[in-house]
Amino acid sequence: MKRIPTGFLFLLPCLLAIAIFQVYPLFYSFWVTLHSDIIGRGTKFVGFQNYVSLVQDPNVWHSLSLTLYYDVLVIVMSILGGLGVALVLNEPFFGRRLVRSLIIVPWAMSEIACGLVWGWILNPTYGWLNGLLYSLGVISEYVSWFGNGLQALTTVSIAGTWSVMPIPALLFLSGLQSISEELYDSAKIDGANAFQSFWHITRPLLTPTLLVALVISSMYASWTFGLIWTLTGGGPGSYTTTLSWLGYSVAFRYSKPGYGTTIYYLGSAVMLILTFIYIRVLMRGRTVFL
Amino acid sequence: MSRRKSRPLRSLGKLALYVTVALIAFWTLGPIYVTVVSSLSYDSDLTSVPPPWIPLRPTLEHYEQVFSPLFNPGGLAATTADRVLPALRNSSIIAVSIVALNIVIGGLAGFAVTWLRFRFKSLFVGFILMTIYVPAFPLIYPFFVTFQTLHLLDTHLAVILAQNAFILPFSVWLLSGYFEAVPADIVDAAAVDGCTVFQTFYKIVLRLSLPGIFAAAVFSFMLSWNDFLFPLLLTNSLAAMGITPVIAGFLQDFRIQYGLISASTLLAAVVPVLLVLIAQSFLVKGLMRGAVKG
Repeated sequence: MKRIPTGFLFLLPCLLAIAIFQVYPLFYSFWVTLHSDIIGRGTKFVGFQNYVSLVQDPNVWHSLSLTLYYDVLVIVMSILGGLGVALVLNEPFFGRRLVRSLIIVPWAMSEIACGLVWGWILNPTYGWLNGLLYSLGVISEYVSWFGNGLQALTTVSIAGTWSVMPIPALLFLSGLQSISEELYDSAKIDGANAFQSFWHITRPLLTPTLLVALVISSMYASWTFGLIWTLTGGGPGSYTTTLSWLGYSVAFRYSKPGYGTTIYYLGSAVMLILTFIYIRVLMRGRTVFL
Repeated sequence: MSRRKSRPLRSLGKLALYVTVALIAFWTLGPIYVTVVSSLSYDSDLTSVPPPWIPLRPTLEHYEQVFSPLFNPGGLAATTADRVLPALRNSSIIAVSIVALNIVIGGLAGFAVTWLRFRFKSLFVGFILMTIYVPAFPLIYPFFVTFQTLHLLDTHLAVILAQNAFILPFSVWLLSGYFEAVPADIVDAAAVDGCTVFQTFYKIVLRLSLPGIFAAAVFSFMLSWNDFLFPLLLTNSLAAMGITPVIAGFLQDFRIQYGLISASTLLAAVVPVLLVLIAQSFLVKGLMRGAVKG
């Protein structure tokens, strides 16, 4: 008697949900990129014209470089900051349990909530950061944090770091706790100083954790959308128009979904390439990277 | 610390440690403190320079604005503040449905992944886990058109179906980590005692993995509740629009009311934050599994 194996039946609902609502839209999206499409006015097959436009479009190159700039800022700050936080919270101090659990709070908030919170703090006229820095005498006049050029995106990256950093921090902390104390003791007996212990014991043993932390913070940074929405709306000019914002504007504001989706394909490619680089660099030789 | 240090040097190190901890706490919670104070202040106080460091004239005005529709039902969503409660209701309906779907569908799949054998299993499992990396953005226009054709735009169902496909792989991954930890002896014994496969799943594996189910429930709830993209594109009225697009929309008001925005933001954030705080240890353990296994 030939039956459908039970195991497959258990998996079937999940496979169906993913096939219908992920694989089908994925193929559909590719079809969309091959069409010039104005919402409400029918579609026209244009072959790979959207991809050609992508390469020739200075706006796309501008957004691509902004995305990379933003990615690097958020990834570096959240990984280094997260590692620092983990190292500190691994030391014994009064109230450690409480601080360790509260550290996760920003991550549990939506990008929108995070953007609204920071938008108010960074408000150029009434914002708290200006008020605080002015009261402390650090600045002599209020700063327009989203004022000019790259400064705006740099400011957004601070809010982005705030919201994603808890994940690297907690992953590193968990990784640190899984390293046996004996390793450090024997290193100490052999005369290793704190830095040598970190470099030769902590660093290699945290490499797998680092990979996960990198992938998560890159995925987060590359697709930042809610923060841009609440903090800058793509401006000033187009200085915070990252690929995720450009794709949305093109698809839904300028009614060119074919081209907008093609821009999102580029954003996805950036993400894939980053992940590929991490895996190559981190998993080839454990001593290559941090 | 077994290494001998002179007493002043050690207390200096201790001091540096506490200063750093204070800085970390300030960085993490400072922004939330500012929001709490703003939500408890009159708008006129918020526009003073410098801003109020503590609520000098505390008021619940903004929270009253948000909750007032409860006390005079039947009123239309006339003011900005009236939009918050329906939005929270929509977010709850959607997020709770996502949790139910993820525990049922993800649980069945997680069980198949960890305890059942069948042909092409590794292929299917690899496929499901790979879809964790499929980004939502390129798919939003296809979703929009598909749900438009099906006349499902502006319904809870559209948002649920779209989010579900993206959250499921995470739930399968989290759940199978916990299912795997159930001792093989117990699972085998159940089979010997005549349990069907489904009974083994339901009575043994599921009941011994309650922390994992809790972790997956909280994680899927949070991902759904905090999502902005799908509710933004697939809904356009309070019939189905969730809290994230609604509070984001407050910035488009003619007069931006920061007290109200702060109160609504806190109301939107408090649910996932509390859940994540409670489930934290299980969640980090689940995420770490990926870190250990690579």
